[in-house]
Amino acid sequence: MSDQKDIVLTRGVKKDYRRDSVVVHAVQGIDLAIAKGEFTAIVGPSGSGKTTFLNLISGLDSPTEGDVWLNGEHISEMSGNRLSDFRRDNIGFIFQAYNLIPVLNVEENVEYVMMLQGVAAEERHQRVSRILSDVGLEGFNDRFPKAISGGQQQRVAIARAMVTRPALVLADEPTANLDSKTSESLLDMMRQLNRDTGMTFVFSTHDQRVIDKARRVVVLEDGVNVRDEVKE
Amino acid sequence: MRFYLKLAWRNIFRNRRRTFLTGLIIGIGLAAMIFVDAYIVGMKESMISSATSSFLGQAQIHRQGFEDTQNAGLTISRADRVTDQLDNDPNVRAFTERTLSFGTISAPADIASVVIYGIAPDSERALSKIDESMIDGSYLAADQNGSALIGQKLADRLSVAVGDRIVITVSQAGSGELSQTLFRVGGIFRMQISELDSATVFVTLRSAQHMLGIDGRAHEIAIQFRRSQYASEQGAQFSQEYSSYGNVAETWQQLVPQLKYVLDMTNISIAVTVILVFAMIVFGIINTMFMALYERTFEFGVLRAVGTRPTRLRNLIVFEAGSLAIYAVAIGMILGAGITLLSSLTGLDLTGVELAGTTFTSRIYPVFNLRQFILYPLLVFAFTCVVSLYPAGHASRMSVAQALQRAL
Repeated sequence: MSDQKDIVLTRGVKKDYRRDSVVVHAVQGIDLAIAKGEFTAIVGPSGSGKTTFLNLISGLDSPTEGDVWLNGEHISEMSGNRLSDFRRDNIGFIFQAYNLIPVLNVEENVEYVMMLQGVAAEERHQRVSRILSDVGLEGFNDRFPKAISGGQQQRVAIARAMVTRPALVLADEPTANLDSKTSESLLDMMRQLNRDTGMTFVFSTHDQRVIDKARRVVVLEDGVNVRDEVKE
Repeated sequence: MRFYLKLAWRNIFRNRRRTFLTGLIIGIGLAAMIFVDAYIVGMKESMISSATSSFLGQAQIHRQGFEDTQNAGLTISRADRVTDQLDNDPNVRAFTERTLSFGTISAPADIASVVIYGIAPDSERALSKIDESMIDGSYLAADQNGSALIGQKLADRLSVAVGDRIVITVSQAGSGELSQTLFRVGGIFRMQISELDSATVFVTLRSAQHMLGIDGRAHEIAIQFRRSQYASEQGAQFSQEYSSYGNVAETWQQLVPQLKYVLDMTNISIAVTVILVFAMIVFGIINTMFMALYERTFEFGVLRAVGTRPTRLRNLIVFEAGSLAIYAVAIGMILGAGITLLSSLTGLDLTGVELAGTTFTSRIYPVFNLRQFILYPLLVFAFTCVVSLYPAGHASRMSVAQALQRAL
């Protein structure tokens, strides 16, 4: 079913929630394929199902109906440790600001996922130094999150998401709490990393700047994919 | 593992005030356990000491049947062999022979029923505190056969003072004939044990043997061991060794069973204290852990999203609880030792208070032991870790998507 060119493939994905005995149809049968190396923005008004859809394609939530493949694996059938390990090895996450572990310094935050993977300390250190240099945070290794700015924290989060070289980087409103200049700079950096490494980026966003930078824009309304536009 | 321990230790100090307050609650609980235990051990030792060192001794040997019948003819059998054995026993510090009989004491003002002990004044010094309890006159000398020691309450009742004449009447062994002997009050004692102060007379062993017609014989041998714990630890062995020739050897546990019951009850007090403290710990830990859990839901969501297995997240929370327990145990041990040491400067004054037939004759001082500083802290640590499994399990089962509601 899954095409090896596609990092993400969904078929008839639905997700219903029960809220105070009322069933909410958050996602109502989305079919979508995202190819390797894409820089895609999923946009839509509040309640359109963006977050739910990203939860489903990242294995953070399971669909009520339908199937999700990620990097060729049928993740809607995974659970427990297998799903945790799959996320660890295949997906990099960038959340809104303030998503670093506050008691870990920059280096520890970035190397955390590699530690889970069992990467040797020496290699971890080398890869952390390289990725921090790529995101412009050379020399920040020992600083704790509260000692750096919001923009720098988001750079650390990007470094953490990319240091394991995942197949897919998912970013939820990554610029939501940042000023326009910092946002612009971070988006340029992610676009450049996308071009340099070929990693796939999928954003959930309201931010017009992100939409402008995206190569593909998927618009959701009421849990349905209403437009799918690929820019030249 | 090491990484999670480091992470846990750092996490508990994220909210220093809350950690301190939780640590203080648990620490106060542990300190209370140490304090109560130290005083209960002190009270037990004081009770045993009051009961055994005033007069009873830590063990006694009687002729079989004597204790039930008080028959003056039932004297210790083969006493010479028994005393030889005691002389050569490395566990025995001292022993003394006594006669014991019931009779009356009469003075011009009144007459009273009393217990008359014949004692060997010199060896009795090592067993009892009669000599230290004299408030008037003097303790008996071995050859002071016409002299008697009486308790203060008895002296008051009979309206007698040192030097006054009294007559002691007893039934002689064998014939049962009444024997009356004139004594002078040689001394008045106050041992703060009601039955001794109000209804007991001490005369020399020889005088008593003569009155009772049992020359050279005794009814009782009272014994003190070198170690105070010997009676508790090897009492059965002692009883077996010395219950021979028709005699019965008993330790204080058999002689004053009511005291043993009271001491057993104190163990229940300790158990109740431990249960109360552990209840405090349960609520303290669960409350703190759940507060931290709700504050850090998003953070746990991030950890789970990036690939942390549920079991690792659970372990992290248990490690945090363990770290908190170590911190709290340190507070508790310092507090417990400090408060207990401070209170030991004055001790607890229960002098004169009677409990289970035993009167406290000295202040109670706390007694430290390893249990208070090893077992209790280990229990607190282990219990805290076990209790934390509840919030830890809750965290490890939470939905990642819900935890990240603000993000993905």
